[in-house]
Amino acid sequence: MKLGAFTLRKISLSVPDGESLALVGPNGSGKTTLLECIAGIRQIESGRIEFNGADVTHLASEKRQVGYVPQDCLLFPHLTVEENIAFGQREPEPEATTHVKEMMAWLGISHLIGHNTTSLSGGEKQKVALARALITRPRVLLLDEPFSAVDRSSRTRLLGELRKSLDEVSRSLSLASIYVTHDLAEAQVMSQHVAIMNRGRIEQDDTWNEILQTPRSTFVADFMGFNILRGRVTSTDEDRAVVDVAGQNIEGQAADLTVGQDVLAVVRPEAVSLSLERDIRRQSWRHCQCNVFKGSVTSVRKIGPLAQVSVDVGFPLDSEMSSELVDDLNLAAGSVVFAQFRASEVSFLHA
Amino acid sequence: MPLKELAGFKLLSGACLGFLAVFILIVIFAGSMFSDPRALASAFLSDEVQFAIVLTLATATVSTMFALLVSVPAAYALSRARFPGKDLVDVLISIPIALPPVALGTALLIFFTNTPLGLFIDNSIVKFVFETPGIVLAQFSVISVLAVRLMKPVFDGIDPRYEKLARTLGHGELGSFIRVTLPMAKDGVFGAAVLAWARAMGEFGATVTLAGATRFKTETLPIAMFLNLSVANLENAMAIILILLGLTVSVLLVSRKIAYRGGMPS
Repeated sequence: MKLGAFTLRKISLSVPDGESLALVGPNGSGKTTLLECIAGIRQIESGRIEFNGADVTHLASEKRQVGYVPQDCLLFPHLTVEENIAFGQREPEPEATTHVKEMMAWLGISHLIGHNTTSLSGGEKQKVALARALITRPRVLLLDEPFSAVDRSSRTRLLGELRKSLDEVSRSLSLASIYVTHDLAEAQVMSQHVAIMNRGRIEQDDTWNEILQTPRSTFVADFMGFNILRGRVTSTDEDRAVVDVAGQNIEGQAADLTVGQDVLAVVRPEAVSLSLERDIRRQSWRHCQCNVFKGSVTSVRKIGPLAQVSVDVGFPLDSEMSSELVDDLNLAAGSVVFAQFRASEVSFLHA
Repeated sequence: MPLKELAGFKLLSGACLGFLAVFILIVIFAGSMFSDPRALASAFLSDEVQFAIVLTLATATVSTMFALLVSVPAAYALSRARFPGKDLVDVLISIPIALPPVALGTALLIFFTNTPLGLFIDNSIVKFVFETPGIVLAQFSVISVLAVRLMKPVFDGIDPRYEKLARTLGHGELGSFIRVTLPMAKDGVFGAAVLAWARAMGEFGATVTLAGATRFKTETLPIAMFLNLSVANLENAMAIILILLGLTVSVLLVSRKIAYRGGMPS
């Protein structure tokens, strides 16, 4: 899809009815642009957009039956809450008013009848914008970072509420929805399925499990916060390979690697476990093929209940664990530790 | 900036503002100070002044309505549309603001008296030259571009995404403009209309050139003032100045109030 100087490339996404897709990526990756193309707000120069098999590429925005909730909600300031919600309605009275009231009751905002939109909280605005989009009975619901203006503490609660509402809506209206965000945690709450965007293209479109297990590009691995280790293949065995990273051997799962090939070994920080002695702490790990390296802690960063510990094991390695465990192990810069991770948690990308 | 320097600057700028206000007050009210109130009252009630008041209010209102019909969509287009030569169009529609009104009136007079299209319009459709419609056209020519200039920033200040969102909710381009943009711009548009109306009431140069200065025919308040001054009837001239002054002050006060509410630059 081409839009002037900016090009959305190799975009091929499909969201089945009743399901939702999280579209994530850094700022400027083209998420909002893609959403605006789907909504018909932007016209594309080439490419094709289909809803249920029908080509809507050249259909005007008002004829696409798309529900769009923009980043800052964009409630019409000259209209009251219920006038905003009723804005896209085509029903005659009194059905129109009845449906607005039903929608407000369903989203738990009946108390906002008669209110001016400027007096609403971030969460209330988001629900009004959602009601306004849903009352038109759209075929596709597009949510563009609806919580970007909401404070962190309210966001967690609102996310849960929105997820619940969306689940109900998706089921009852057979609605496909796309949720745009740059926050991975938010995306994980909102959808089982995720598409990661970078510079106008989809880098990976998969389930969370698949992406966390096998990132398909360096960008995805980096965006997801994986450890990325450059090395060379020293041996291969069916679906396993051993890679030399800074003089240390890392074993991982690989299908089509050849000895001597330069690769990037990627492993999630959550998969890297730290202990003070050379043992496999977890019972289930006793017989697995594990990578174990001795090293020293270079930094410890606690962010609430989670902590990120950086270790130098001959190459830099990040581990994510609970802050409680960090305290239990008494980890600090300079502590000598053993870093270990399963071979099944390591995947290889072409360098 | 040091406090002393800041205080000095504030004093200087305040003094300049005070000087300008006093200067305008003296210039405007000096004449009235030396006029006989009875003569002023009688001039105010004279048939000529009454005719001029009615004609001015009527023509200014009609020309403002025509100007709004054209200026609102034009200002919107200038604010939203992206097209090659936009800068040129922007400059072109600003010309009547920079041009002396007399020059504008002269251009209109030449158009209606010396060009085939102008002659056709003046002879077969509407007679503008030295007639009342000429007053409306002269006022329209001056205020329509002024209204565009005043309203463009109002539309610039409205996020175009509101219209785009309205379109996803099933409204076409016109529907989005009427139901979203125009209501959001109403204070600014009304403020611009009031200012344009005030400017139309005071319009002289283009009017006198195109519509002429005929008593009880094309005699608006500014033209009546000019005609009375030309025969040294100072009482009538002063009465007209005071009427125009009263109208202008009230209109400016109203428009400022509206402009501040609508976020229009004042």
